[in-house]
Amino acid sequence: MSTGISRTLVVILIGLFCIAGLSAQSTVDPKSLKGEISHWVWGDYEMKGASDFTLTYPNIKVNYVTIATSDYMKKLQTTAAAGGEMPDVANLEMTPRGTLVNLDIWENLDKAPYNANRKDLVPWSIPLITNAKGELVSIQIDNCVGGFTYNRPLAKQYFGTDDPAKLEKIFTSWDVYVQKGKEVADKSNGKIVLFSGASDAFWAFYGMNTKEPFVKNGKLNMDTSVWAAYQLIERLVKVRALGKYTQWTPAWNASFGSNTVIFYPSPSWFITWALRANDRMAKGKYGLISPPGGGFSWGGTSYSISKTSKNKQLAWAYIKWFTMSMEGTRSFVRTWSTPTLYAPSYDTDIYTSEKNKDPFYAGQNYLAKLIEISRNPNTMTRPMTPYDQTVQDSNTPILETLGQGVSAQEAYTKLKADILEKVPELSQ
Amino acid sequence: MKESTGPTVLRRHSRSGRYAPYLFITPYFAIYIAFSLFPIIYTFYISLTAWNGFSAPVFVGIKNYLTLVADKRFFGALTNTLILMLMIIPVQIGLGMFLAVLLSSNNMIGKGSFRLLNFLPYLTTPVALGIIFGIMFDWQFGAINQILGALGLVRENINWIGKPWPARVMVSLVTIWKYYGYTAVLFIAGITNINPSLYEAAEIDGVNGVQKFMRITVPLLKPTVIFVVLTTMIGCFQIFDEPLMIFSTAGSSSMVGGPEHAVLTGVWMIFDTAFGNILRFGYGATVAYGLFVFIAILTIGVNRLMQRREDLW
Repeated sequence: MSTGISRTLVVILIGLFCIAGLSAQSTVDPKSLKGEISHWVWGDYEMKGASDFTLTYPNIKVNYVTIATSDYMKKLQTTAAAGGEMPDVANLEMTPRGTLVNLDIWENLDKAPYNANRKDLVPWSIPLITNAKGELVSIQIDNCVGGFTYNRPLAKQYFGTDDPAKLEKIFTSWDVYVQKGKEVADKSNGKIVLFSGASDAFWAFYGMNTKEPFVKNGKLNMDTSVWAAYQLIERLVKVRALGKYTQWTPAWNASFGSNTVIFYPSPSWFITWALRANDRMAKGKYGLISPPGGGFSWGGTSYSISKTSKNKQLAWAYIKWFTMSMEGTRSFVRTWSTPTLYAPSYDTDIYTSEKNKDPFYAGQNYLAKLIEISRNPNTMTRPMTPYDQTVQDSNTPILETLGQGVSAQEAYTKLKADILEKVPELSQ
Repeated sequence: MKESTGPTVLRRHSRSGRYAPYLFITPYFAIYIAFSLFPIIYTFYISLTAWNGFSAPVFVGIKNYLTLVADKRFFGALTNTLILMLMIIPVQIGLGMFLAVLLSSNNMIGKGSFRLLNFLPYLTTPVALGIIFGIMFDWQFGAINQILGALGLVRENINWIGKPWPARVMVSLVTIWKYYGYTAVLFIAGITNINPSLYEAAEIDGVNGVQKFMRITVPLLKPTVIFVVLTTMIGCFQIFDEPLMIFSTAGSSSMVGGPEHAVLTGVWMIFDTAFGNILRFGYGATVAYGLFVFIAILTIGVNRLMQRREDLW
């Protein structure tokens, strides 16, 4: 009897130690975590952005392996197929993320020992990092909320003001964009346009109608999202408010310096990688306003821990520091001038500081503006599906035809036919 | 001790002599089996499964093949390949042959330099080609549209990347530009093998250059032409790198197959199916076998046709 009680006491004590160990996750001495983790990346976004990581975790070494963005998913796929060594931390870019999060190869970060606190993340980011079962399998580093960057001299010339607050009072709805687009085209005889092309316009409207996923219950479900955007683009094309530039082409890059385009849809990364990259000498030329009815989220990179990782604790320490800590946020903002999705940082001066007033934006604090757009309750994101990239791939050439004057109805019919040809298991 | 030179030694030598050839050819066959035969057979096995590369393959039998025979996209890709072949082969062979005749002429100065210059496009990487031709054929600012407009040949800029037939013309031009030098080299080798005395005899008989070309060069180049046509045809089936690079745009989704899939080739479809968005290794392998069957049938047919026309030459 006494032996039995002793055994029971031992079991209870062991259990209590385990619970204490788990709950002490957050109080583990960073210096006690030692080892190396591998992180597959496609550039120096993380290498530079997380450069302060070793100040907090001096004994964790992160081995970065660079893989081209276009090869990344293939590399994951062929490594898994061949039974090779997956990275401890993998990047999940937004475009294929709907497919990737639903592969059963990532750790569930809601569960122990990770216990990720969803409340520490901006609410609209949650649909972007959960799988179809609602499990949190990834954490996104960058807040890719977008506003519209506008050309100040052109805004002053055609709308009478270049002040962001006054422009937001003018551009209160998408109908106003169509009306103003017509005015600009008429006054400039088609030389000045509202957006550079149909592809830019589509991303500008991407934030509208985000409640529904593109595919639901095995059927295409794009009437409230893509169809609505196509109709708006058709109206803009008719009034000559759109240019003929295709995104990411050399001609589109040149459009930034041409002073013929008034608005560009600009998520946080766009400002560094597109705007500044293509119009370096444009001091004071730009401003940033919120789209009517809230912002949109375009792109983003999230981090997941592979189930086969042998260094899960270290990988989580790294991801958590980078995406859900003040230190990580400061490091990232300092390096890339891009906000993170760590909600508690929005109540600090990281974004509102006077240091963020940007000469490129004529002294406007564009970081604070992006946070303001991010906090707008109408800023939402669409639930992901594994078919999102297929939809985007089919959408890209269709947008070109829309920009050339094809009707929205014809373009939408072609889009659906194209998607169904690629994914015959779906239906209309 | 007397050395044994009798039947035993002979048998020993003949036994080791029998095995030596097999030993020498084993490395080749080992590599062939490991890197060619095994992948071919394993690909067939994969074609009988539904597999995304991440989870375990699920055996589905001939379901993928039944899907293939009803797949409009597959037949569209084959049609595109045939259209590109018809646009590329005559021009590439004609240009290659014309260049070969010029570069074989005794009157040509700087033959070696010109041969090298014409061969250089063959050495250009697909990435560089995609970027260069993407810029040259740009709708708004491309050099091609600027030249055509300046010459008065077009009233409006041609949207090379955005419309089906211009996209096909562009891909054909890129392919011809890349491979015409290589084709010329093959024809130069064929022309070099023609006995010069035939030309000398023809000159004595008062035959002019065009007649020499049509009556001597072309008939004697027949085996080379058959070879070039067949290899160019097979090369057309493998068109993939250049259109992929032209229609891939940095930072966003690529236009798989170009505008309205006008330049989606069989190989591109295999690549997109297996490694694209939906991750279908199994069906991608099926498409590969479907393409193999199509290429085999067409190659055998064309070869027989060309052999039959031998008599007409």
